[in-house]
Amino acid sequence: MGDSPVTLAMDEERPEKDTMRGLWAECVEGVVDQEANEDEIPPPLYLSLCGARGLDIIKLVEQGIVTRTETGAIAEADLGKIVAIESDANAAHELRDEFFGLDVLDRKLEDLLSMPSDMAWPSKKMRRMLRSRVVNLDMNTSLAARIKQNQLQFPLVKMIEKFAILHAQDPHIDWTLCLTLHADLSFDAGALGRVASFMAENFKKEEIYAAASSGLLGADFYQKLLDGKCPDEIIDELCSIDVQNLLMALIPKRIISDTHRHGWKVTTKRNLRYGGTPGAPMVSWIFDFAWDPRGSSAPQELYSESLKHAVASVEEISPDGELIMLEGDS
Amino acid sequence: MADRNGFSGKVKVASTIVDYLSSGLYESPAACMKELVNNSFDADASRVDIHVKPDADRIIVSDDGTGMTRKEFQEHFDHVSESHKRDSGDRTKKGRPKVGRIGIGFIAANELCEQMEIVSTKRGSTDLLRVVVDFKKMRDPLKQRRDREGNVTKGDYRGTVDKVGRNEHYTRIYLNEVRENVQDVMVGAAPEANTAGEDSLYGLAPDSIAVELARPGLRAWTDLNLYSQTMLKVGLNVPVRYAPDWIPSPLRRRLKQLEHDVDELKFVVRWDGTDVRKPVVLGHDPDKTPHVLRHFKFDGENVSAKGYFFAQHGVIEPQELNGLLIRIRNAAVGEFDSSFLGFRASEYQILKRWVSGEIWASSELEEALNIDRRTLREAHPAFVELQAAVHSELRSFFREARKRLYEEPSRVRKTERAAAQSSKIREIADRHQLEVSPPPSEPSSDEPAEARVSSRALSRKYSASELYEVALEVAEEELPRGLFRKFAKALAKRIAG
Repeated sequence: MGDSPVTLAMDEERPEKDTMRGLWAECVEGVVDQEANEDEIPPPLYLSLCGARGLDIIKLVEQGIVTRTETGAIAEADLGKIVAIESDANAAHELRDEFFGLDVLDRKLEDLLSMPSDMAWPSKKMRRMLRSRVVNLDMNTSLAARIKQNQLQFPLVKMIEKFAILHAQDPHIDWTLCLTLHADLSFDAGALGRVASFMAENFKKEEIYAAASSGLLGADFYQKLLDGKCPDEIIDELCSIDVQNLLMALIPKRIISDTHRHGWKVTTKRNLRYGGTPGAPMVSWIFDFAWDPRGSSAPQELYSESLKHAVASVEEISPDGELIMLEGDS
Repeated sequence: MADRNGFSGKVKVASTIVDYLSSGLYESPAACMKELVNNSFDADASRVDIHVKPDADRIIVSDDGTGMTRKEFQEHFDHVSESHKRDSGDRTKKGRPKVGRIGIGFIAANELCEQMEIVSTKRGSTDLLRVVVDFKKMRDPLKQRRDREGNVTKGDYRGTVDKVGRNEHYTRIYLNEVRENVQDVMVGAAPEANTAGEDSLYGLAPDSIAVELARPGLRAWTDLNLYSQTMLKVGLNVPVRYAPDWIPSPLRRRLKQLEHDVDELKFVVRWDGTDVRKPVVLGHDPDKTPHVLRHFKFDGENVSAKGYFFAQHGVIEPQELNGLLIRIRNAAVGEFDSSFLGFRASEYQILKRWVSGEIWASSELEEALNIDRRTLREAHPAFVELQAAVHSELRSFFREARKRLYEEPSRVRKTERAAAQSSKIREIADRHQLEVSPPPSEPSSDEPAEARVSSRALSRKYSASELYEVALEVAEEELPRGLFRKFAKALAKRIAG
C-alpha cells in the first residue's frame, strides 16, 4: 500500500484534498461553541485519522479553531480538543513531534473500538475520546464487503455503527461523521450481487432516493442494479466514476440503515467525489447525526426521513479544488 | 579443614527489590525524569523529546541516541546495579563523560508508572527491540509468582525483536499507566495543598521562560504550577544549555568559556516542545541591582573544580537559585545548596541569601556521591578538600561582595544624604537672609572614629539640617534681632568648623 497511486496522491498537496480539509474545518467550527452535555470533561471536538503530517489539524490551526503556542505546541486551552489516531509507530512519533500536546492514540481504530466484537467496549477514557463531536474517518482504504452467515457486511459501516452507539450513550452527543474512501471496491465473491439486491429493495421503497440515485448512477447502471443483474465480473468493467457513484448511493443508505435504530436522524450534508481518472478516485461524505427519540418509537419513519435526501445533492470537487453541484449527470 | 558448624550461601535478590530500592530514592517525578534524560545523554543522544501533555497518563521519552540491542538490554536489566555502562570507558563515543554509573536509572520509571515499554534500534542493526517491563507484576510477592517447581511464572519483562531500516537509531520509552498522583504533578493539576501556583511555562520558548523567571515578584519556582516546577528541576539537573541572556552581558562575556563547554555537549531536551534550558537566570536588573562575579578554580590532590560565584544587592530570586550547585559530569548533585556546603560564618548570614554559584567538579567527586545523586558523603576526601577550597573562596568572595554591594553603596548613600542636608541648610539660611558657609557633609571615612560615631548617633534622631533649622528658629523667636544675627553667624561658623 505504501506507494500506491492513491497513497502518493493523498500525500500530495492536492487542491481537492485541501477543499476537503476546508469542509472538515467548517464542521469543527460548527461545534466549537456547543455546550457540553456532560458534567465531566467535555468530549473532544475532533477525532481524526490524520496521518503523520496532520494536514487537517494544520487547517484547523489556520482557521483559528485551534491555537498553537510559540513553540508550536497545542495551546493549553485547546488541549484535549483534538484526538489523532495513527497506528504506525513512526508516523505517530512524527505527529507527536509536530504537535506537542496532541492526543495521539497509536493503535488501530478497530482495536480502539474493540472490533469486531459486539460485546466488547472501549475503556471509559477511550470512550470519552471516541465520543468526539466530529469524527473524521479519512480512510486510506477502499470499501470492503463480505458475506458472513448469509448476511452482507461492511466492516467499515460496522465500525461507524459502533461510533453511533457510543455517541448514543447517556448523555448522548450529537455528532458529525466525515468519511472518505478510495473509490474502488474490495468485495468478496457474490457481494456485488447482494449490494445490487440491497439497493434495489430500497429503490422500490423510497421514491425520492430512487430518483436521485437514478440520476446519479445513470439509467443503465441504475436499471442493472434495480434488476439485480450485477454479477461480480462487472466490477472490473465499472469505470472509476461508476464506482464513485455507486458508493455515493450505497454508503449513505447503509449508514442510515445501520444507525437510525440507535436513535440517530442522519442528514447527509455532503456527498461528493473527486480525483477521477487518471488520478486517485475518492469519495467523501459529511453526515450529521442528531439525536431523535423516534429511534425507538418510530424507527421506520426516522429511517425514511433520513434516506430521502441522502443522494439529493451530490457534488464533485474539480482538480483545482472547486465544488461543483452535480445534477443527474454521469 | 572446613569448620563443621560453618555454612555459606548466595544472597539472592528478588526483583521486588526494585520497588524497595526506588522507594525513597527519588523525592519527586522530576528526579525520576532526570534519570531517564541522563540515560539518553549517556546514549549520545543529541535530542530528547519528552511528551507529557495533554494528560500525562502516558509519558514518552524518546531520543536519537545510539539505541540498544536485545543483548545490551539484558545486560542492563537482568542484573540491576551490575551496570555495564562504563565497561567501554567512562566516556561515550562522542566523548561525553557518562553520567550513569551503577545502572539503576531505569528503576526511576518504576516510581512513575506501572508499565514501561522500550522500543529501540541501534545504528547499523536491522533489529528493532520492543520490551515491556511490567512493574505491577514485579511487585507481586515472589511466592505468588512461583509455580510448583519453583520457577517464576510471570516474566518481569517480555520482548520481541522485529526488523527495521539499518540507518535508524533511537530509543523510545513509553511510561504507560502513569500513577495518578504522578499524573497530577506532571500536568500541573491544582494540588490539594497550597504548594504550587497556577502560572505555567507550558508552550513557552526559552526567551519567554527566561523573562518569566526574571519577573519581579516571582519569589520562588513554587509560584509556578507543578508542571513547570518539574520541567525546571529537570532542566537544572541535566546537561542542557543556558537560557539566552541568563546573566547580564558583561558577566556573560566573562563566563564565555564555561557556557561554551556546556554548548559543546550539544544536548537538547524538548519538554512538550519547549527547548529546556538551565533555569539559572541571574542579575535581572543590572542597572538597579549591582552585582559581583568571581571565577572559581581549584586544583587539589583529590579533586579539581571550576565555576563561578555571583552576588547581587538583594535576595536571589527565585529562591531556588540561592546557594551553591555542584555538577559532576555535567549533571547536578541535587539542587542549589543554600548552606554553601555547610559554610558557617555568622557575619555573612544576610549576604548568603544574595549569592548563587555553580561548580563543576571533577569525576573524583563522584565517589562521594550517594546513591540518590542528591547528596555527597561529607567525610570523603574529595568532598572535604572541595569544601575547604569553596569555603576559603567564599570567605574572600563574601568580603568583596560586602564591600562592593553594601559598604560602598552605603557610603555613597550617606554622601548623597549629607549633600541633600547641605543644600537644605543653604535654603534655610537663604530664607533667614543669612550668609553662611555650608555645614559639613556627613563625616568621611577619613575622620576619626569617635567623630563618625557621634555624628551617627546624632543623625539617628535629628539630621544636621534639622538641628540647624531648630536652633535658628529658637534664636529668632527668643533673641533680639541684632543678637539673633550675631548668633546665626557664630553658629554657621561653628558648624563649618
